[in-house]
Amino acid sequence: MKILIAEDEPLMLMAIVGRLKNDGYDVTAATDGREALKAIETSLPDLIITDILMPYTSGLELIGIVKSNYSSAIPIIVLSGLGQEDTVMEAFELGADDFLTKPFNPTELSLRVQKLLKLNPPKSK
Amino acid sequence: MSENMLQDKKVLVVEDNIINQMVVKHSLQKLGASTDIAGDGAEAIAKIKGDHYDLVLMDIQMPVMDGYETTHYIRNQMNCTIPIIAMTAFALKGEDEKCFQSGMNGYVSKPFTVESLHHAINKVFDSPTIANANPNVLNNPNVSVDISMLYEIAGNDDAYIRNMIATFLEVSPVTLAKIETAYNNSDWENLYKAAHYAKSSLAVIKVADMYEWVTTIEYKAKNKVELDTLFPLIELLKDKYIVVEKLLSEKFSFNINSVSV
Repeated sequence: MKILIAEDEPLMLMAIVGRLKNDGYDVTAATDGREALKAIETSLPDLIITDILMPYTSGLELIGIVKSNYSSAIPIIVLSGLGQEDTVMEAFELGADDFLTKPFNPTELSLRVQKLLKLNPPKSK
Repeated sequence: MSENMLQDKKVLVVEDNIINQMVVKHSLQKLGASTDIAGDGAEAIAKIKGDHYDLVLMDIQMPVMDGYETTHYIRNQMNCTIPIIAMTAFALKGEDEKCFQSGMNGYVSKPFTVESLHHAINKVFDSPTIANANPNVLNNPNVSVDISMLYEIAGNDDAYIRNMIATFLEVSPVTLAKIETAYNNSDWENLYKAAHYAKSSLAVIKVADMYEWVTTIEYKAKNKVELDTLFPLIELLKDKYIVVEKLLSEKFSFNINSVSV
């Protein structure tokens, strides 16, 4: 199972990458939205986790592009901070499937990923 | 006051002055302890390696290896968590803080009475020692750093945990500088972004207060409210980070060594 993570803050990125690698997933890390899109062009992931506020291409733009240009079946988890509820709503409207609030509980991250991957069997080529 | 609070306890007194050695020995015996004397830091280390002690009373100013260095060695090289109480004159401000930072559990000011010694020992035995406390929450009197999430993320992957600490120490000063620059330029948009960025780091390595402060800065900069209250917050943030940086760089290698691979 391939997971793409887009997050511009290195420690948060390492935290998510580390946990999911430990869970046994094949993890790709992108430090901004543009890098994430490049990775998607190369190969479609089974799940995407994205931050909202990132340079170049924001999380919201990334969600829009993935859902309309690639596959709406790729589940996307949005990372948000407290007080970003409005933006999370926007992300949902664009097609995001779930959200995780920072600071997150690592076990919760694992469970949400597990659940989404079971609900959405991989459809990548 | 219990006359025998140190009954059956063996206390090592580390003190170079012979008169002081006698005074401390006498006070300890009044509390029921058996005592042993080390004349300097090196002798203390040799004695702790060779024998069992329940408590160490450590003079700060000693030739060759002072009390701080000796304690640092006992904590970091020997991985030994024996309670250590500093005996200090506290002529210099901040000496008490230095005691805690070097890994001591308490202090007693010289010249001391049997009562004040009793009080200091009680305090140390009542409060959890470094070994008893959650090893993933690093504490000193000025700051508390919760790194337990790193272990939830990486399990026992020492290299990964060390790497995350290194990343935090590398990224944080840059982010703090961005916060300061943005504030100085009244650039609220970039202040908001920098504070938001800092918040992400602090959601992984959790420093009490710092997370709340950057959250407040983020909110005020984003909404451009109470901008006159930002300066003291940024100053607090910078001061706190200095303590955090010191604590993490000093203590982390010790924690890493104690985690089995």
